[in-house]
Amino acid sequence: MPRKARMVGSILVVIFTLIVLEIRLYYIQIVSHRRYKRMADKQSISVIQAEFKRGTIYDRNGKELAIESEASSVYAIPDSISHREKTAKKLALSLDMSEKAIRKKMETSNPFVWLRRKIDTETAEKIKSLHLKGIEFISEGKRFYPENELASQVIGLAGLDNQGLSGIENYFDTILRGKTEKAIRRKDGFGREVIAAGTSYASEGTGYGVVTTIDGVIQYIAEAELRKAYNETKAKLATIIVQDSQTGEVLALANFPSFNGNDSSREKYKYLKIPSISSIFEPGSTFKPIVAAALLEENLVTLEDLFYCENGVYLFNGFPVRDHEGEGWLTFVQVLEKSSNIGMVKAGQLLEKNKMYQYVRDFGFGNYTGIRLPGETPGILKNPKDWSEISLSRLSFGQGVGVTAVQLISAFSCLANGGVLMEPMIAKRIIDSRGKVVTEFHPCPVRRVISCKTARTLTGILCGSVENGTGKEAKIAGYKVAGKTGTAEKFDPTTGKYSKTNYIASFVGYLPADRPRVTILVMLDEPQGFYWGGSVAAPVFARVALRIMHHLGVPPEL
Amino acid sequence: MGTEKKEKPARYYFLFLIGGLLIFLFYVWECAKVITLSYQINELKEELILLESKNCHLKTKLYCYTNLANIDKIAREEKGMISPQNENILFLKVNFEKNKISRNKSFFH
Repeated sequence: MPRKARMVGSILVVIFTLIVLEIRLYYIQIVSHRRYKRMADKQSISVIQAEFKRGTIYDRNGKELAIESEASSVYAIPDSISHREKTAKKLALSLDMSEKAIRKKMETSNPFVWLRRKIDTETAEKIKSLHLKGIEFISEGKRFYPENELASQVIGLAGLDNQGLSGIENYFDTILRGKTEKAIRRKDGFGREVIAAGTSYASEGTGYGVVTTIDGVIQYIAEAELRKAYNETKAKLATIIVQDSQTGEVLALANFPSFNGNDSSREKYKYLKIPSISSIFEPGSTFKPIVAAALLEENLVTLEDLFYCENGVYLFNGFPVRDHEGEGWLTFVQVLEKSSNIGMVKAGQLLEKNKMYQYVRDFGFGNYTGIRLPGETPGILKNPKDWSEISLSRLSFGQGVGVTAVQLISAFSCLANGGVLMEPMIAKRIIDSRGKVVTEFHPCPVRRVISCKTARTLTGILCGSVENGTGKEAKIAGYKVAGKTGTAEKFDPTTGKYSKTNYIASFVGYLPADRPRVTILVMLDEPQGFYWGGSVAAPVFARVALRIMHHLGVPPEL
Repeated sequence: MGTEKKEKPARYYFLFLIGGLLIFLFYVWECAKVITLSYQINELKEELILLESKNCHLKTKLYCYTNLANIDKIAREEKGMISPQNENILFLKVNFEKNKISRNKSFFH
């Protein structure tokens, strides 16, 4: 072949090759560029949902009750694990999981599987030191409760995905969580993050904080005394609530048994419900001051009016009403001091049933209190249309009505502050991460229920109940206490009768009686042995009240 | 005159080419710099996360020591302290307005 022809042939081959390459390039870059870009992006770009750090929950003095901490979560990349059995065996010891469970998790077609989320740092370090292939870690936000059990039911719990499950964590979830933003990250061939066109960063921040009305020290006092009372009485449930008598702010809300939010066991999920707002009970004698307030406000009785208490047993419309101790003639004041059911039934008859219903409603029973906590129940208060012949008489001594502990303490605070029902407050303000106030919650008067004069008269009677009546054990040296005991028989749904063995012992009172600072409710559900409110709940009240007076710096006056 | 007129655009083209090349080189250098800096940022970020994690761990430990239950336990069990009674407390009346104190203060003695 002549040289020229070879050259021309070579040039043609080169040109042809270039044309083929150009066509291929045109096909890749122009025709199918979307598909290839998608493939490349899939490998290098990741879109993540960047969440704000969850906001802090504080007590009223700025003490942190719930903070955002860090924890490691362990995940597996099943395809990268060479010896699944060996890996599972090694992990089982550290993760407190069975080998079988770990192996089952690994046998998945998914490229990624969680093994255990939010484990403590020590465990994570221990597993890291094993250098297991295909086992990776990621740092995640985890809720930490610095005071452990303190106010755990009120604060509530946040779940694995940082969602509020109960208490304040749940009620203020959106506020505490803050924003969730999308962030686009690009990685190079070595998996290193690069800043390039199309990447974006989510703004890092913290959700708003919630300042509660809870006083950490008062809550601690309440819980310490509550635990003691619970162990002594072997009650099924014990409750103490402390409320600011004037503003309705809840200073402490303690229930026992409770839980420790930092505890990793599943046992804690049994106690997420807050019984003080979600469980109803018949208040018994602690309801008598409510009826008495209505009678005094309507001028239907005077303090000196006499009632015959039938020496302890009275048949009303065929139903027996009994007193703890048989009494003869008692003044209205003595009826309350000695907590006579018969006296109250007779006094209660003076009140027209619609009026009674109206007063009970006005005191906040049968309605939501508006406390900023999830799971509140309005209680049970039947409409007068549905009342039987004995409903009014039963209501006079606290039967036939279902109340929550928060409703009851709010009604007593109403008596303490001069007759104005205040909304029970649990949140004081919402603040940003720099402490700047975003929203302030102010004490909210719901309505005036009784006059100041009636409230003062009733306070005098309740002081008498502590000085001379059933509440003697609630007396505190140096402080004038107004309060009322309650021993309510529990209704047994299986027999349809009131139980003779199961009681709710309670005491609700406020002090100093002349200028009340705090209202305190103590309730013991099914105490064993002694079950009278005056003998089991009143002493707890006295112990709690004295420590609170010292903490608040209220000087003794007597 | 005629040759001068012909030389001018050639020089301009040359300068334009040099300018373009410089801009292109600057662009390449800038891209490389951005990538290098982003690597450094990420390294620092990782370091920050590590320090934050350590800080968090230390904070958690601190809270364990300073929580109310622990202080109460130490006060009662180790130091043998007891809750004060009325007679152990000296209440001082403070002029709240003048001293801008929001509540009563009590002092143990």
